[in-house]
Amino acid sequence: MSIKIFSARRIWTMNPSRPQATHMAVQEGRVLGVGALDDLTGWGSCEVDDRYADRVLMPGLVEGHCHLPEGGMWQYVYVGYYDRRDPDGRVWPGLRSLADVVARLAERERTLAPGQHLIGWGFDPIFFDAQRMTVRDLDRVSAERPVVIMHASLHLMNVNTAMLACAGIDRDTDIEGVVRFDNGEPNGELQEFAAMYPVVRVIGNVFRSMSGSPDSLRMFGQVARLAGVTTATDLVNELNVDDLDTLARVTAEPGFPVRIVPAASHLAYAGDMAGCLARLDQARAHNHDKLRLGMVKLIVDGSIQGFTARLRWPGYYNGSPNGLWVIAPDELNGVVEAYHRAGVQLHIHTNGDEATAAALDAVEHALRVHPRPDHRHTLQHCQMADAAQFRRMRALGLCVNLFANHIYYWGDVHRAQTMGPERAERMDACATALRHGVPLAVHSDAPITPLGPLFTAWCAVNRLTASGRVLGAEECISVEQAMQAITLGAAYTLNMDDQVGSLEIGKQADFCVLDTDPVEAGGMALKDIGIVDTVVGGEVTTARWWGGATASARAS
Amino acid sequence: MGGRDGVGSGLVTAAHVAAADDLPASTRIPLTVIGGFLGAGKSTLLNRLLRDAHGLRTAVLVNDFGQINVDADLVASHDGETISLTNGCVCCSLGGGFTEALLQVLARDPLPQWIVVEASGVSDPGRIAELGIADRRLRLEGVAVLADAARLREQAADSRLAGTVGRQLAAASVIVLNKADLADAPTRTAAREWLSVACPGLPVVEAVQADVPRVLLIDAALPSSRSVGGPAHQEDVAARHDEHEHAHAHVGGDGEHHSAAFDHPFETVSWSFDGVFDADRLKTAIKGLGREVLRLKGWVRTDRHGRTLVQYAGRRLMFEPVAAQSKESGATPSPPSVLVCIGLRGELSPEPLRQALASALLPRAGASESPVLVLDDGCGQP
Repeated sequence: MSIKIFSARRIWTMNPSRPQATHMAVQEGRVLGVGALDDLTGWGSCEVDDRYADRVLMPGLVEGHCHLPEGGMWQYVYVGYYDRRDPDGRVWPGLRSLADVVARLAERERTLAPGQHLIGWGFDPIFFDAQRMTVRDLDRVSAERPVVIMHASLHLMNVNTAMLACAGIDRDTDIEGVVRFDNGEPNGELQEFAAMYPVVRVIGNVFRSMSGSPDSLRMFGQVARLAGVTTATDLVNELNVDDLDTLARVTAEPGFPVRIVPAASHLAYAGDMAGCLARLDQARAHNHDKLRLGMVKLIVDGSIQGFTARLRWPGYYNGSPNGLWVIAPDELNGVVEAYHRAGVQLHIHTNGDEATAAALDAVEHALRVHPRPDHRHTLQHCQMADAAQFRRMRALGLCVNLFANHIYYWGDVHRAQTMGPERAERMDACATALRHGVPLAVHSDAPITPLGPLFTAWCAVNRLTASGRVLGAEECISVEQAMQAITLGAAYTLNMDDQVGSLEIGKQADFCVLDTDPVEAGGMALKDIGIVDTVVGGEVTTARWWGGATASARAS
Repeated sequence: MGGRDGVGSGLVTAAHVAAADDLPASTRIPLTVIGGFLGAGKSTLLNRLLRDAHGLRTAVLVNDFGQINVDADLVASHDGETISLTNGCVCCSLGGGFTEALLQVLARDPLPQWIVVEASGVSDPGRIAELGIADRRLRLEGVAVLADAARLREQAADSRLAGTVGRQLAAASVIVLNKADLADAPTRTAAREWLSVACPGLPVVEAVQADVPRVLLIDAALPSSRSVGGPAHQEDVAARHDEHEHAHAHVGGDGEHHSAAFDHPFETVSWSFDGVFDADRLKTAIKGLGREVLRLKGWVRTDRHGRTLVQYAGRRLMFEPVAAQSKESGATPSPPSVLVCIGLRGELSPEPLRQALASALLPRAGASESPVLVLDDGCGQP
């Protein structure tokens, strides 16, 4: 088979044995060699491709914690505070006032057919100070058409009067999450699942079923491609039979631009671990080079900014009561042990440090009763772990995937409300992890924050909050360390470091093409580096490989 | 009692009671939440409800599918997320979330006649109970929280579970101290004392092997009031179980038999009120009643609804107005409002309860005047 040699101004390989190169040979979708041109021509007749000759290449970025709805969300109207790029590359400006949110919704409303609901997403009231969105705002979008905005957290909604009426929510609806005006009438804000349920009944459980459609999956591929991501997780997958068939089929389409690594959701199996394991075995039969099933996801607690994470003493800085266990600490030991014995790799969501402690205890217990080398179990988010907890992670052979993006998006909120100054300064402690030798990755948890590992790396290097404050300079890491975390480091947490994450002989020819050298440009510039192209298995990915319509055309 | 505030004597006559029973029962599907701590016996109770359905097509939604243990010859089919039983009951997994599970159950044909939802020991059963309010096809019956009589205080003392225990107790209509046979009398007494301080007034019953009286879980077992007497009508349910009739036509035959092994009688108290209630004040009054009120329901007239069913259970209040009744004229006398409440025998104080409810009545200008009520029948209005 033919050999193609890509030339570049510089290739950052993430391989310490040969950290930099100018040429890379690719054959059968794999790296045949990396080095100077003379090192590579000995393999046989080859063709030099110099389209990237003055660009910088690095391994395809690996996102170790995100979700497929990052694609499907774009069927609906983005109304978030920050700029965000859609699957077609169009940047939607962030909306800085309630009036701007109304204006964008009204613009989409005009394009909808009679009877269609208007659905928005990504809204976060935390950026609007004391102003809360109410029916008065959304009634300006439409007096007749039911409108709903899903908040970024996915735990709250705002609706207009027409939607309240359709959903049957009124003055008498005795649900705590139905927020009211002083006169007792619902104001359109609905908190948590019981209050949101009547609206879900009207519009369908759309945010839940998002991973099932081919279009949603292709939109995810588009988003990944634009972000230089060549391997991405879907970290909560219910392994539904039909959805898996679709996933296997769409990811196998020639040109699909990203390798998907789902984690089976333990929660979806309602305590039936044997059932989950059996289903996982069947699901693995679908695996191909762009789909890799096998991991299991556990969720131990909630979120810190939602005050549902479990914290150790002294608890939440603003005095909020401690959060919710999703798996009770006494049950966690049994759950971890069962999957651990079965040889599965676990990804364990723990946001608060009490949840992290429970997870550490559970892994320790499992290892004691069933020693297992190189298990690679990974703590996800793990935002409040202290040095002692990182030392335990090291001793137990755990990896950690830290939610570095939180520093930017919620760092100010954490400092002022949830954790207080001292714990906020050591939140998502990347430097501590590295100092103690815990294998490190960093993530976006898209769609909670946008998919974009270079931005995530920028967060880990600079630790700047949205207000411009540096939150804990001692935890900043270097550009090289951050680049490692978004490539080989993340691949290691997915047990795929033998295949992706660095450019060396035998591994997948997955790389991204940058318009700027990250090491030369320095840490502050990381978030502004442009992705010129994304290459998967040696093939340059294209904007619309399946020949379909743009996301925005489809949505109108 | 009665007459002092000029809003009706509160006297219940046979005619009034008969009229209340003739009014159409709610067609909503009752929903009960079963909460409780690890090891308290929730699964035992859920298995029992599936097995001994007493003629009700029961749908049980569970967190822990693995603990469901029904005799193989009762199982008609099992598709991974739903187990269908030969007695018409189904057991569904909550793995996809409460919203999804409920939507699926309510899409079944035929619909279940009772929905029971398991709340895990670390969840907030109050939030789950609100689903019984969120879907107008449902009627919330209450939240029963199971506790292991011997372990309750130890679990409450576990600092990692503190808020968790509190959440269960705050949401509970009743606490079932299960495994009562495995805890000695001092332990049970200590548990009751701890509960009476942690949640004053909250009804507590003891049970063995999660054999919980059905009246705690669903009011299909609530007898209709037939006898009269006095300004308030109290009835000792245990004493009258031989004469039980069912208040709602859709419930199957159910000879409720209280086991001789334990004794936890219930009582009902009912009142009638002349006049019209201020709906908002009635809601505040009812929600302000003590925890000893397990359930309260009835037919009332309010300023906002006209004639409406009202049910208070699981700490949530629901109005279900009679549809399309837009005007009442002075010529047709309407039956008075009737409210019935149930609690553990000896724990209800009828007079303070009656006064709290009566305080929500609108002042009457004159005995012969009846208000003209007009209901808006626009989209979404009751």
